[in-house]
Amino acid sequence: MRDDAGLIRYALRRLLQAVPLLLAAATVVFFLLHLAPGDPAAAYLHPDVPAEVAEQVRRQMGLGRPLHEQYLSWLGSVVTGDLGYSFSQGQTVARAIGGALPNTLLLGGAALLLSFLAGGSLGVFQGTRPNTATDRTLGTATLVAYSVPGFWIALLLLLLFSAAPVRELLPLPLTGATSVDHGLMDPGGRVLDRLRHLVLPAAALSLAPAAAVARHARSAVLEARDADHVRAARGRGLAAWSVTLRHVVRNALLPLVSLLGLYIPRLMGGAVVLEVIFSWAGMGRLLYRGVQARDYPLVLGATLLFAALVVVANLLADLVYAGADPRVRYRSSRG
Amino acid sequence: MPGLRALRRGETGTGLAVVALWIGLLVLAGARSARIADTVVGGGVGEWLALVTLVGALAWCWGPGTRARPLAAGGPGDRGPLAGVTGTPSGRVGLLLVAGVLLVALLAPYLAPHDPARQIDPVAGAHLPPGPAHLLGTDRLGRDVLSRVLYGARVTMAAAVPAVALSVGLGAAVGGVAGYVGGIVDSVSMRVVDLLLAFPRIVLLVAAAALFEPSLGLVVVLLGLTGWMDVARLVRGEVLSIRERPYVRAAEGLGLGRGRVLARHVLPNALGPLLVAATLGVADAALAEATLSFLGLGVQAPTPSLGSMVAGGRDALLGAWWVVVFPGGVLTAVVLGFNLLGEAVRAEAAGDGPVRRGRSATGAVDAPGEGAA
Repeated sequence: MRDDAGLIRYALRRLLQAVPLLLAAATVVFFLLHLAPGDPAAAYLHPDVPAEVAEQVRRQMGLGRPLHEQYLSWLGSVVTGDLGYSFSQGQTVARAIGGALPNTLLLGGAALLLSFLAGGSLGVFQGTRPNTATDRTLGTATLVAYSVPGFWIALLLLLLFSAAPVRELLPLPLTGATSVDHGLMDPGGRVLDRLRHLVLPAAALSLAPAAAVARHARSAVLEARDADHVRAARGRGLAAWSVTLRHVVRNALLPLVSLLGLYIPRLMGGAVVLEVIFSWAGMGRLLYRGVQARDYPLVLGATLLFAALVVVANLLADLVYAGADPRVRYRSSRG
Repeated sequence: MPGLRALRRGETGTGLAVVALWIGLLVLAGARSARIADTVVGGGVGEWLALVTLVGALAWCWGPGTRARPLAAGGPGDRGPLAGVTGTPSGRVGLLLVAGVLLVALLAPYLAPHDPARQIDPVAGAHLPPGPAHLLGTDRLGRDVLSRVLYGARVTMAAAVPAVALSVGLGAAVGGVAGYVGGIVDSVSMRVVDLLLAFPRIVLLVAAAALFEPSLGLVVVLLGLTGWMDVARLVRGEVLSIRERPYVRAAEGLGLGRGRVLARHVLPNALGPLLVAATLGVADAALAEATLSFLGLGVQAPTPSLGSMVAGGRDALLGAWWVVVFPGGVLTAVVLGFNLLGEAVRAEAAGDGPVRRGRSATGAVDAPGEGAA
């Protein structure tokens, strides 16, 4: 019971740390807007808007007021979820983001899962046979995979899966998040439809992070193999696979969770370009469309939301880690 | 003749590489003598850079290249900065890739068979497959893909290298001061780093590209301003341990100013990690630049960029794969080269040979277990 209380205390403290971070992110976005050439009304308004309307909007936006007042009212509206109106989407920014967010969470979550499963297994596989020819080959392969640009591998996948022999063998939808007749499908068919659309973008998105996870996992396994308790287990004559699974893998892979903070921003950045390529109706494509239309409220709202996603994902990762490893919350409650 | 001495010493790899480079440069100078003459008469900065590189590389072949140390390090007296890096196959490949791309980027005006922006025959010459006239084919406007790839590599380096110089300088300054001064300065600057790291780099770049007019200068500044946070963290960590060392204490005891101690005694000792961060940073910046250009938000047409070339080939992907495949492949090679070199420098700086590999003690202890597995 004492332990649960510790975890809750830790969770509360981390949550309290996340709030100022989110407010600061909103501040960065506010200054990004004010750094742009021209005044923010020019940024908020479509260039074709008549001058008198623009003047009225300027007054409504309170641009004559001192900067700190504008800043406070911006913070106030962000906190209440009011991110302005997106003229390119013809709806409020909050609504547009609300429509796109689930798709990005699906794609990002699938890619994250895939990169940890595939990268983790590969790292363990390499770590249990270090310095062999297999290990070296895979080590080179992961570095190549880490260096491949996401947009390029996406186009290569499209090229591959539009080739006739591959299409016959494994027909996969090349673009979009769902089929045109998605709404007409039964529930099981819908899930299958979504999964089939998910394969190519998630594969392209997870390639580089999977390679990074594999490299981290390999060195973590190498280190864990040398620990005293592992040698002792081996010395007791336990089967090699059982030692690997129970003592090496468990100890080596748990700390990888703390690397989530490193991967999630990269994953989100990768999602921007991959959503554009695969016509995946998510946050990245929304941001890109906003940029193309010079729809600043949309661009800033989406940017802010990406930062919020990273902060929340880091928070969750820390909580999972603390839940799994009591030393984390013990250490941080003392320091 | 360059390289012969190395060959005579029995260092076949080094010798052949120097001989090949020397012959290649001479052939290039001969074949492009008209362009070289044009440069001398009235060339721009880019052409002069190429000419200086050509002459410099030839001089290197005659001078240091002739005395070149073995690529495979090992001799006791052999302690050049790259000695350990070239000790592993991956380090050698990385160094060759990086040197190759830098040379290609600088020599692009002479290497390129065609003007990268010239539409040789927009109707009949569009989407020509790779062949003798166009080694890597032509794109949808009939421009030579090989020439554009060479110039694209030049643009990638022109964006990534200055950007990394900016971010490493900024990161070293912030991280150095934060780590050395400590206290409130440290906690405030590290909170700012945490905050900026919450924004995915590509998202920040894309958003900023929407607010400003895109250009090469803007790309350099944006890449620099979005890349310094990791460097700052790294440097701060190094400085925290370096500042406790006796020689730093001694310098402080002698009454040297803080700025002087930081600049003269602390930061120079963090050079190894900085070099690693810079090398890996170029790989990251090259990828980010290409991604931005792919989205049409980076360097603008008609300047060829590897990213925008791939984007230009998207629509005709099935009919003209070469427009997408070659620029992307070259970009991968560039990024891989800097990643390989960075890992090798890291291993060298850590002083334990090849990255997480060559720890012979581990291998020896683990060998029986492997037999059982």
